[in-house]
Amino acid sequence: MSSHDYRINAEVRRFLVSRWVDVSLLQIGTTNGVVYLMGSFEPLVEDALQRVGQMQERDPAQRLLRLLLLVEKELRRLRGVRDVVFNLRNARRKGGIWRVKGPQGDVFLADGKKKQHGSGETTQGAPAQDEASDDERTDTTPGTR
Amino acid sequence: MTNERTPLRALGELLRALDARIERHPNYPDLRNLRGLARIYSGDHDGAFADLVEALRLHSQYEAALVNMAWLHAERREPDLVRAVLREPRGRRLRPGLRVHLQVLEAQVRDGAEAALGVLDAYAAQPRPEPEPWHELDRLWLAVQLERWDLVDAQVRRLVAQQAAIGPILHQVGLVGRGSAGRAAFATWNQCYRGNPHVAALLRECARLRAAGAAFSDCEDILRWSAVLSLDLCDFWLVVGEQHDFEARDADAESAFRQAMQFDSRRAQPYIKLGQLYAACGRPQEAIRELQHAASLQPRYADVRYLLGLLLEDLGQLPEAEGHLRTALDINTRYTLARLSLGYLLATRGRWRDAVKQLEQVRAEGLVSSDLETRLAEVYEQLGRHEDATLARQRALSPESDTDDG
Repeated sequence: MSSHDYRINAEVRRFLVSRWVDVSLLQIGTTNGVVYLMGSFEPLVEDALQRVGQMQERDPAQRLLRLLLLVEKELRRLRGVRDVVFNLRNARRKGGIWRVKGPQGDVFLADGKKKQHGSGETTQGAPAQDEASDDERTDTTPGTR
Repeated sequence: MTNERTPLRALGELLRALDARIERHPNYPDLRNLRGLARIYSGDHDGAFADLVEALRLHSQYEAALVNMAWLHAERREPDLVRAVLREPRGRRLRPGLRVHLQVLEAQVRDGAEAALGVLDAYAAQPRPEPEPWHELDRLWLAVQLERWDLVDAQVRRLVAQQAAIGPILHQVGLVGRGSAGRAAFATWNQCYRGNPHVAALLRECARLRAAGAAFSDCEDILRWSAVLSLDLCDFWLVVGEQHDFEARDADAESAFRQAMQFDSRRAQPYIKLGQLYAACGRPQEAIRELQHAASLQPRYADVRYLLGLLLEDLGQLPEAEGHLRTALDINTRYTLARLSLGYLLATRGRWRDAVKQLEQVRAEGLVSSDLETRLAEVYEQLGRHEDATLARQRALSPESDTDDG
């Protein structure tokens, strides 16, 4: 980790706090500009989305996914961040699609455009989209601090 | 204090947040304990009882939950149950000073404030009493109940003489100069203490919660209430420093962490926070100094070892860095980020077999990234494992393709 990484790490932590994410449940690390978030990703308050100026979701699983997607996008815009790697207990990503278990089955979300409930392992109908659009922005926009 | 209801209003907000967190984590005793405490103040005594029983079921030696249970019984005017807490095996194991704090509580509920003061005096007269900050606060509180203003003033002077910084805080909550301006705040202090002064822990959580979105001054008000209910100025400055840090006011954060150290030089947390701050500010030597001190105070703190390992690696002190990273993993075998850093460090030192073992373990723990796969490919090449290297490079191109989906 270089001194640059420590600064990124501090900014990531501050950013997560400002988005009402419970950082006490996360391991946060940065190595060579790659940000690692591990543990449980959870908001501190139920209306975290509303508090950051987003439309509120009624379904808790959808709320969590929308917040996650928002955070991922914004973290990638931080200056010096090359990649953001998640290893979360309560949400998984495959092929650019986030998935979390909700009360009515699995909930999927990609890029905040579509969402749906499923019942098992299948992800049919979920939008096929990878992270390329986000990656293109890396290092091109100024940090948010 | 401009609004006497500030601390208790903040509790309502925290109670809602705790409900949501307990729904997700029903087996965390500290969350149950905090909600039990908050429910005492919301008047939901049955709910508080259920939470504290559950906290003690999840963690049978949970001291704070036991103390809060005693305060709940006191709130319900049940001195026999307060005594029962003191007599049960867990109650008997409480440190002597804390037991006296609860004996004062029992005496107050059973026989009144004068009798409770007698308990404190008798304990202070013992050959080797083990005083606690609670005793100072209990004495202040009981003098207020008896309207013995001479005793109140003497106790305030005593506290300020011990810690000058507590003076302005006591003034702000109406315990100094009880004029009309401070009357409302004074009433709130009474209300908070009567319910359970351990609410201070909850108020610090409130401040942390509010810091995410509210004005800093709002948090600071709540923190002052926390300080006046616990006399824990170290924790007060620690949370103030965290708030400055969150808002990127580095100099203010540094100053606050140093204040925290002055109030309790045996606590590792202010040194850790200052070390992290220095690391983020590009001051590695100072960061190492603070973190080494923290490690001497709390040798089994994995985060400190991890950060020391990273900082020493940057300075080229690779054997020392490796030692700290290995210690972090000894303390917490599932510390994946420490294992990742150790794997990279071993690769840098050309210890390929050790490196591949650590990095493969990182993969097995579920961390999937292009960076890791690329580094693994390099290490496999060094070991002559060309097929594994090719596979790792393929995974590096689409790191999510084989993510465990469970």
